[in-house]
Amino acid sequence: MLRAEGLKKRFGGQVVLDGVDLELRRGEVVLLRGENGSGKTTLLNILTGNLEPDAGTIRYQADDTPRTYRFPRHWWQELNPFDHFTPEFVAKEGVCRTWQDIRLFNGQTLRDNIVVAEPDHAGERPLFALFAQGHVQRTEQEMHQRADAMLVRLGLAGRESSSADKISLGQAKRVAIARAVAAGARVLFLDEPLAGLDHSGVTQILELLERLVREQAVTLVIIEHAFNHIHLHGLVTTDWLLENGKLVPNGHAAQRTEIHHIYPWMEFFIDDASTVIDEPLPNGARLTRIRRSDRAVQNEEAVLDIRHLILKRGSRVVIGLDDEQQETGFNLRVFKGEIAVLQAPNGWGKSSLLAGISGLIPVFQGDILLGAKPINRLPVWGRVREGLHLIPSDHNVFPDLTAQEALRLAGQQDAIAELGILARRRSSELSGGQKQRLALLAEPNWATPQLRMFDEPFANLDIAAIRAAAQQILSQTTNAVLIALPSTT
Amino acid sequence: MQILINGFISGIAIALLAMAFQMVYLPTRVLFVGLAGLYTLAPYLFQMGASELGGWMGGLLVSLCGVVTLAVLFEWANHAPLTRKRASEGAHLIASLGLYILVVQVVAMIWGNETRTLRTGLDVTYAMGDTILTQSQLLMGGVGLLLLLAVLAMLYLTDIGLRLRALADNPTQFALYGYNVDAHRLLAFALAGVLATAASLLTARDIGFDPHTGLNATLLAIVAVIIGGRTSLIGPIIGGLLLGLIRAQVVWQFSARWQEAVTFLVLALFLLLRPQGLFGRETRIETTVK
Amino acid sequence: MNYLIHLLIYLDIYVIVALSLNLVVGYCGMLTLAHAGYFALGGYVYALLAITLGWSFFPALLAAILIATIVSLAVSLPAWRLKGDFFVLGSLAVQALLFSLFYNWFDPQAPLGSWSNLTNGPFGIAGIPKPDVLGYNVADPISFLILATLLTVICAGIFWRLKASPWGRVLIAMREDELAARGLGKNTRLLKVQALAISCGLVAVAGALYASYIGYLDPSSATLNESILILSMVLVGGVGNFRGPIVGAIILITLPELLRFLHLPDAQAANLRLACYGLLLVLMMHFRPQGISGEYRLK
Repeated sequence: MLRAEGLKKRFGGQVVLDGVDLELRRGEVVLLRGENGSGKTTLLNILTGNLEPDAGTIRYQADDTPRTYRFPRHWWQELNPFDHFTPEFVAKEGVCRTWQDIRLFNGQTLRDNIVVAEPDHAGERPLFALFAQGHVQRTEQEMHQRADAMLVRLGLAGRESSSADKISLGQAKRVAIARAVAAGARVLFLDEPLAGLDHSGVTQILELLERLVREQAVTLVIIEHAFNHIHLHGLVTTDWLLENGKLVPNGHAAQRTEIHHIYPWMEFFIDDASTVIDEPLPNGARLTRIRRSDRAVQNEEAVLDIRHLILKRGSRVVIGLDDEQQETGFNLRVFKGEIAVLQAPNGWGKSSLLAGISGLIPVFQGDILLGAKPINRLPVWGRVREGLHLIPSDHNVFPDLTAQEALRLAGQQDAIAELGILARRRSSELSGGQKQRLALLAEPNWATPQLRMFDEPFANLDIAAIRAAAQQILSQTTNAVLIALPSTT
Repeated sequence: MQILINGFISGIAIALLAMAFQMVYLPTRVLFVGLAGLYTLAPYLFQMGASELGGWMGGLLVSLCGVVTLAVLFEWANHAPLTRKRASEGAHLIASLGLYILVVQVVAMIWGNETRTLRTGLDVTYAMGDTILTQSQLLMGGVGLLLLLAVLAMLYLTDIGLRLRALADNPTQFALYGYNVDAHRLLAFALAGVLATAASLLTARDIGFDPHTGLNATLLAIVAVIIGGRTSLIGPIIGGLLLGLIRAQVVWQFSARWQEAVTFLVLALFLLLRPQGLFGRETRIETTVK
Repeated sequence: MNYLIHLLIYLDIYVIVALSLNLVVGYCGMLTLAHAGYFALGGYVYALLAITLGWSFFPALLAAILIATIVSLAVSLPAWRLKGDFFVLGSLAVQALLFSLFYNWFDPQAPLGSWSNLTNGPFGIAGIPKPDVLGYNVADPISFLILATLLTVICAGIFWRLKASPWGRVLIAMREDELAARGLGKNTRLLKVQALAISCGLVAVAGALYASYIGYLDPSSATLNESILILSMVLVGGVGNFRGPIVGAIILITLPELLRFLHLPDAQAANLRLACYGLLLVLMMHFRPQGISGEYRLK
């Protein structure tokens, strides 16, 4: 169906793909695995025409007329409007994708979302639409029937005319898959189709995928977080592992790499006399309170107190649903002296929660108190000056500033020496691990912080770097620490 | 030689305004068309100040204060509230355009539509070899160059400059370092006001002004920014100088009336062949969520 | 009575303009400032053909539509590369180019309509004949109103049919999420070319009507101010549906007429009118970004 040879891609100075060869056969279900930052998404973007590789060949043969692209392309090829390497041309070859953030057409009804995907619709030519209305309407009716039948199979009967932003996450993901199939996908790339779904949502997606494979022999390539791999076991026929910019095919036994995914953070934070308290949070998340012997814990004094918090992204509630999916609000207290570790599945809303606490997204409802002081109304910088720090998981450096400029900005001039030669480099030229190290070093340094929050501080780091990062987190004096990590189970 | 120098000097004027535009665009991502309103207003305030307070010092004081206040007001009353409402880029642009129209029409209603000049009588000329320069041109070249260098020095050598560059680079992280984003945005608008005043007064002294000069000058500045690279701080200066040189060549080779056409032809060529500009970085395709 | 007819003819013309712009702004989500240029282009083509070649109304109108449609490539090709704000600037460049062509393509020595003097430059073209429809000269206001209304109804019908068609649906999909639409195999570049071509063709109709009604055309109808006026109609009324632009056209045509009752001197009145447009735009963006009866907020 699809064959690629010698794909290479670099961003800035960083080589992401270094000669990837792959072949995809009809009806295969591939699980594309690899560590964070190993280039899974880059590879998906390239194979679906969203990104041009620096070198290599891609051959699409999902239908009768195969098509080959060779890279790098000559500039004069861009002058030929029928020979572009773009998503629409790749989609016409029967290769489609879904998006991690779904991207349904929100202004349209569910039915339109599916009908719009149908290929070669005569009514999509303005002259036909104007002058051959009868013909267009007949095709329209057929397509509407097909789309409605599809929606019934997705369990959305009767919702044909409801707007696409009014359905649940799981339903939206299923509509997105149906949309890609309606567009004529013979090969379908799925970007985290299970992220953020509860058990029944996962089951429904899996049923849909299984039916696609069985009834229509659609070929699937799935990118999914490690902790969801277990759900995919019955479905997947082939494993691809992306490692050091190369693809290692058929690594059925390659379970070992997944062990790396379990952060060995625990041992770095716990000393012999630590107390560890585990508490469940709604929707499969967990809070681990680590109370080290070298820090006095006052059980009464909450550094952070969150009451009945509801956060929204668009019209969807991301934080504040309980296990019954009722909007009762989210509660969390972090006490003085604690290191609190929040472990939650991807899509649970960790980053949104931290963004809400630090003021990056508005609070829809509820209260946030920092050391008994309500901070809901403070702007982001006001909260930082009150001693609330956040080191986000990505985009946490200034790409155009040098590392030493960033440290100067954060008031951490003393740390410049620690970076050595890297200090003079621009942040965009650093590797993922170096960026993360810089982000941890360049924590704002204005007063003793009350609460320091870290969003996935160990992503992109190897064991030694994780140890160093944990040391860095422990070394600064603070009242409390809140760390958000992805679940490992 | 004469053409080259003429082009260079008019290029400096474009570069000043382009810098003003970029000063706002980079940290706030607002396409500040309202800048044209500020540009229009400056020489009128200068004349008022010069006649009320006496002398060019008075004029300068009044026009600087007035324009900077208005620039800050634009941000405080218009762009900051829109940003808080998470309005789109388009809404910012339209609102900015609305403010420009408002300012220009009010200026026209108060001071009339006719062309004026800041100079009295003919300009003093100086001959150097076979090139002739007017006093206005010398002033524009000298003051303009100094100001541009001062701005660059401020951006790259001082703490304030570092903060402005950081705000331009990653506003979220800038706020997470505990810096007041709103205050720094106000500062950026104020600086743009200063640069626009300088560009406007220097040009007005050379070739006069009327209520409608502002938009054309700002469009030129925007073209300079796109040519130079919209992500760069040096880009607009080089873009402005280049544009000045090209336009002077057009006047020499064809006629002044084709200046605009050629300018926008250059823009079109750049947009098609090098959309990131001379000093810009190529941006990655938008595949991730913002 | 004549005053009312005059107003209604103006309204007809600007309803066509606003609807055509709505196709681009409301359905493609692209703000263009070049529309006045195409309006004037339609007028110029019509005027030249009617005066120098003596063409009658409909052939000249068709030629105007055709030429505007072809020249629309000047905006739609940059739209492949430019997104959001920078597309606005690109369209501004096209606007400036068109204006400069109308303004400069003349030579006082050459007769109007010759290759070296196509537009009569800043002096404008005077004496544009009234429409000559199938041998009948539409000279009196009432019959002109009927002609204008007829054309408006046809244009509105075209717009209506396109908006409700599958083509309109793909346009909306592109507006909502261009990358996702491309990922489904939709050729969004072609869509942009089509939408802008249709839109520019429609606005050329309005331009030709305007030229033949007033009988005089100069480059001032291609200025940026004119583009802004047109854009304000669409934005004030609201984009993304049928009635928004019509509401906008009605408001912005009648508003200046109300200002007349203030009895200001002419120059002041023109300035005040534009100032009101400016203020209106700012207020709309703050308090009702989707327009008075629109459905879609600009991205």
